[in-house]
Amino acid sequence: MKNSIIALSMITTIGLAITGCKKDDDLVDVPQPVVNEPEIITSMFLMLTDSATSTPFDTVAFRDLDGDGANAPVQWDTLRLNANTTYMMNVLLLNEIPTPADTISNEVAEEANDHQFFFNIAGVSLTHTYLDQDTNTPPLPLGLVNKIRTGAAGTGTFQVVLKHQPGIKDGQQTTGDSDVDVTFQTIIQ
Amino acid sequence: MKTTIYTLIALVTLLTACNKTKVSSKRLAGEHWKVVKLTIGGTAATELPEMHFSDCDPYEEVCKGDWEIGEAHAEFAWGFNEKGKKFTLSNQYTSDGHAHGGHEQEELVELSENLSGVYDVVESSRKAMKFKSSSTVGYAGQEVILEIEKE
Repeated sequence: MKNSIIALSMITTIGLAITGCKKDDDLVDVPQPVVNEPEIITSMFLMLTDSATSTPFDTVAFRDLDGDGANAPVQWDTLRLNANTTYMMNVLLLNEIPTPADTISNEVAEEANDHQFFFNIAGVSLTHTYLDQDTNTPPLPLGLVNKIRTGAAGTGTFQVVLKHQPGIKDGQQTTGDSDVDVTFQTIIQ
Repeated sequence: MKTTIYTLIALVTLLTACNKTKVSSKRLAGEHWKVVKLTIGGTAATELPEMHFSDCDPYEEVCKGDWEIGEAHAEFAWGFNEKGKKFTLSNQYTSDGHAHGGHEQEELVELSENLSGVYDVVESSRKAMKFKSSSTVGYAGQEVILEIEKE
């Protein structure tokens, strides 16, 4: 009799345990992740200085005032350079939506260890050299301050890509997301 | 006596097996864990945050937690499912366009966003856990391995 009571109690306990065992279906769902909008870059300026005379040569602009919106860029200059000349080239990035405009290149400089510009040249005799770098170990190029050197006359393209590589900067253009990707028609005359 | 012991062992085994999600959740809830290793596509991250998991009942409420580095923090929601085999992280920090608190805060919010996703639970013990995913928000297609240890 005693054994029967014990057995019955055990069966009841196990039964209650199974019944009370919560299922994954009862879990409260984890909400979808919040993805905050990244900084908007509406405008890029390539500020060129003739390195021989240290005088400003030209400022070449790309301005798309609604960012990734449907409207076409309001300004998209052609990069015109003299043959066989060396230029200092500083890159300025702005968000021109707020007033006054937000200087995004300052933030890129602050976050140098997570950013790198890449310059892809096609069809023209043009070489590029980085003049700035970050504080990674070993240091990697940044690309806000540069030197470019033209060769013979010709036409082609000059692509500027800014990669955002938080914690994973490795000097490779394929790593991370692109914050900026603009191709300028280029004429060396 | 023997029968009672066997039955109790069976009961404990049954309870443990039937609710691994709850067991895993209880290990994290209300505790501080530090990230001891974070690799993204084979590259090891150098700045490793800590994770504070709020005490919660995943069957009654959304479980929340915070990524922490120095003064910076970013809230996330978390949860286990599929009998403790899957772990979800979900950024809940809203920056309204700017992450307040400077560069460190911006970086942590970005990390919280990028690491959001569903992970496979590779290891789960009282002191250490290891998660793996190739489908996080920021690194889709790249394998993210997150290893944490209880402080």
